[in-house]
Amino acid sequence: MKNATFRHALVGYAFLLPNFIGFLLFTIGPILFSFVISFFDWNLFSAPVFVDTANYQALFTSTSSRFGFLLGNSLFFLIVVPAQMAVALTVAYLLNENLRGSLLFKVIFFIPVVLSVIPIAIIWGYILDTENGLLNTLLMSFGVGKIAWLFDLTWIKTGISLMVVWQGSAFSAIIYYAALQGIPDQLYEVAALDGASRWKQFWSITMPLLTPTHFFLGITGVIGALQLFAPIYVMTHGTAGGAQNLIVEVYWKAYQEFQMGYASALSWILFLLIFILSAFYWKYLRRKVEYA
Amino acid sequence: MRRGPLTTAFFYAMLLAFSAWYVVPFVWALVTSVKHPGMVFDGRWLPYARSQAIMLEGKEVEMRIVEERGDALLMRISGTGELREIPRAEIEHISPNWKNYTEAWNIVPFGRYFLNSILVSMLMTLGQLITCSLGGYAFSRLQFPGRDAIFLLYLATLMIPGPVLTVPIYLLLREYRLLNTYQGVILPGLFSAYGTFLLRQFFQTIPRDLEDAARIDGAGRFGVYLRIILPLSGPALAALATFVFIGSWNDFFWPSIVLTDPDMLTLPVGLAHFNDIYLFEYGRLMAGSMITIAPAVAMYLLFQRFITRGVVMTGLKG
Repeated sequence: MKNATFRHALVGYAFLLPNFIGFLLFTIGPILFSFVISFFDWNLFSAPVFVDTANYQALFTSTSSRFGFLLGNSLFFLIVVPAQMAVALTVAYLLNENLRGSLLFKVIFFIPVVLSVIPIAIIWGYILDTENGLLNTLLMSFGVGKIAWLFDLTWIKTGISLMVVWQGSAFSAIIYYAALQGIPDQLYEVAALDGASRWKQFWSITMPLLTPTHFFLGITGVIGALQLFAPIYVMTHGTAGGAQNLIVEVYWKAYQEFQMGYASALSWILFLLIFILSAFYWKYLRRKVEYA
Repeated sequence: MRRGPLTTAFFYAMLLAFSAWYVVPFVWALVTSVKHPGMVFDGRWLPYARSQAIMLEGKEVEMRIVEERGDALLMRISGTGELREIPRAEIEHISPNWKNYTEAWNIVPFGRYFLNSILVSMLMTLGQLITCSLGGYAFSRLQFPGRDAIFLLYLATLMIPGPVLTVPIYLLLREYRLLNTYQGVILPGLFSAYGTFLLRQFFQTIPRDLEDAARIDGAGRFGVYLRIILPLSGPALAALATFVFIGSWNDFFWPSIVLTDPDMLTLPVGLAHFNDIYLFEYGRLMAGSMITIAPAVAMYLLFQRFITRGVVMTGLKG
């Protein structure tokens, strides 16, 4: 019997082995290593020097650190989360009406989900061009002056967010659409018999039944928005021009300045931020989720 | 749900408005991609070309533009130097300029990048299907000491964001001289805790009776995995494959760090370099973007149902 248990265990480990090697090398190992080197000063060219918590302290105290600025920008980009959800829900609701031609509209609304963010960011870079961009041309025809979407420090984050909402809402729209299709028609029929208007039905049937979806999209959206990188990088040609968030700074410190310890410390702070926000989100909004 | 004609009309208006929001950027990019040099910023929706030679009093004359004056162009006749105002309609005609595409294609090895992207994405997808299904099977059906503790550890790491991992993985690849190699891009993507979790959850919904019956017929664990579990997991495997393929196809951060050799870049990274070099040359940039977008759009149109289902499954189960 004991022999059989031993064999069972062996078979189990054998199945897990290829997976576990990947886990060790590319997940748990790097996590531990990253934590350790965040306490070292290491520029790749000389031996690492233990500096205790100096990297973490430098984030907050050194004059060259712009932690407040970076954090502010990271948090600014959270506005894309509700914006994406609102666009996605509206689009999904309209599709769920199954009007004639819905098939075509579905293709149009869902296609950005497979598109790489790079060509989209390049196209949007042109749309947001100050002199000849589509958006400014439109705004001018309404009598609004030119806005330097990608150069003005106050507008650059709005410009980037517009593009992120444009592309990101496709994913949320697919999820909302699937969720809306799961709501039984009878619920609406009964409500209609009771004389509830469409507007009323939306708020008292559709929205409550969608709370698990809102919750899911909200939390994945927050985590994604805090890790926004490619749009900022591409639309500013790698300069980030005032739109640097924490992750762009990690990239810059690690792969341009080779300050591996400092970059690791910064990435742990980013983790902490994501963790705290998710925990708050979980604690305060989880209760509002209704399971039908 | 019943709908009055007014509601229907309103919904169509909304659908059209949102379609415009999605389609206009593409149309704008497409039109720009076939505009002629010097005519990119004419603010018009069609690709106009200017002919330098026009018919004037029965003769063909070479002219040069001096100034734009609204609906007309002030032009100088070469030779005599005489100035004339010529209505735009006489000298400008619509003609798409496909040269931007051939130029972009010749400057940037898009074909090569396309193949690089295919190679990287296919191998990653295949790798994850293998490692995640093996691991998922071990976690859902096999008994071994430490199983649940290890699984919990996997779950805990799902919370850790990518940037925490990238610096050490970069250093690891550098140590083993794997920077700037295809292996360097692919290896870290052959495994994911998320994929393992996803398949484990799905395998748990497969009835055990089937497995027991096969065991009684003499099938080994691997036989069960290969002939019972995998064939029954089509939707979950397809969803994971879609998720991994799209993710790696579009990934920018990681390949842009690992790859530096201009011949080895993936499509998004190659396009981003192009964007940095041809700053503000929008005709070519839009052509390059369109070239990059085309295969993804084709992929979407072919596998539409597959992709949306995959997004729903991988999204909701996370």
